[in-house]
Amino acid sequence: MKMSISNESVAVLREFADKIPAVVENIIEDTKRLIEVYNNVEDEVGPHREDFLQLFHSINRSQKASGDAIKELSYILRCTADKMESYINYGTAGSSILQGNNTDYVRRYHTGTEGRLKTEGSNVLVKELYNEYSDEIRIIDFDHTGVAYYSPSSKGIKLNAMADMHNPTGNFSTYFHEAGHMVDDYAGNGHTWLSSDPEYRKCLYQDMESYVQKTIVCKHCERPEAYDIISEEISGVWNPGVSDIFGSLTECRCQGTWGHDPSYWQEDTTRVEKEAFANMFEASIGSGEKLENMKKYFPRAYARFEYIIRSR
Amino acid sequence: MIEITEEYLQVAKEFKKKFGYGVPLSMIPPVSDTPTLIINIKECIENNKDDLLKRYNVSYGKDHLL
Repeated sequence: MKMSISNESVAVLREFADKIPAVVENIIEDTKRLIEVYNNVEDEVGPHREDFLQLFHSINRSQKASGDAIKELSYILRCTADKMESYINYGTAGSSILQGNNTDYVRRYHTGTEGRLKTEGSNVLVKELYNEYSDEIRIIDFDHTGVAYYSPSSKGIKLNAMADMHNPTGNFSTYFHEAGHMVDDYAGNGHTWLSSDPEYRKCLYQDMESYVQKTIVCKHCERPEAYDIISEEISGVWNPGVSDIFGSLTECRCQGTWGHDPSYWQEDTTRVEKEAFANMFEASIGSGEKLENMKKYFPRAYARFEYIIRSR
Repeated sequence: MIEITEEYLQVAKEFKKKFGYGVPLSMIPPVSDTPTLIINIKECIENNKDDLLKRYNVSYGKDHLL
């Protein structure tokens, strides 16, 4: 097939990229089998034993080197497919770390995310979930100039690493938010997402309503005023996730500093629980302030979030 | 980079008062600068039209999660 910038080529590249891990697996298995066979006949090879050993060392080295290179090829093919798709849909692909020589910049970013992961106060359960899927996390663009996102169709994340390293809501917050989406998708059973749990959604609404009612009673006010009071309360750098969840449940009428547009929630109602999952995931990694706030405003939903992770 | 300044918080409050919902800050590209964001929010308020996301060419796929 002749490659061109078309949806067909995008699909072919992704299909090819999907097959590569199996190819690598086969090479590894075949090499193992070859060595096993040799071990079984080792005593009978006679004077050529040393030659055979040299040969197997050479095969082993080549297998390791080619395995890594082929894995990289899979990554690059996916990135190329993403860029082609971006050209087709939006007429632009933005710039990519693959086109530059910014390996140090990427390494620093990864080191930073590892550092946040090790912070005392992180939820162990969430860390375990992250570690289980960390090898699958794929950043397509580290220098994306638009808003960061996770695409379930390309299984990739686009973000701006430099901006995230100086994120006002905590360094690497965007990374862990988008990784939360990816893990939610991957850890589902293949047909659904972890967050696609009706009880989780119910808990989110119950927690929001409880807090609003509590405010109405305590402040002797009506709902609109309660929304204003809570919006003020959940503003600031330690509450971006809480603010976003309140916004998603109230058509953005009760929302602190951070949140999405009402149309974002209207276009796809499952985004409510998907974003809540990513917000809770991000709040669970790092120093405890965000996590404490999340549990304060969404106690039942957070407990359900943990339950979903435990029972996956 | 976006910084949450007192001026921003003030103008964001006015935006919410005018349109009934908060500024979709999570959808504004993080490489934007705060003074320009403040100007854009003020213009939306003055024009009585929320085209803030359009001003930043914010577009995303149907299945994208921001």
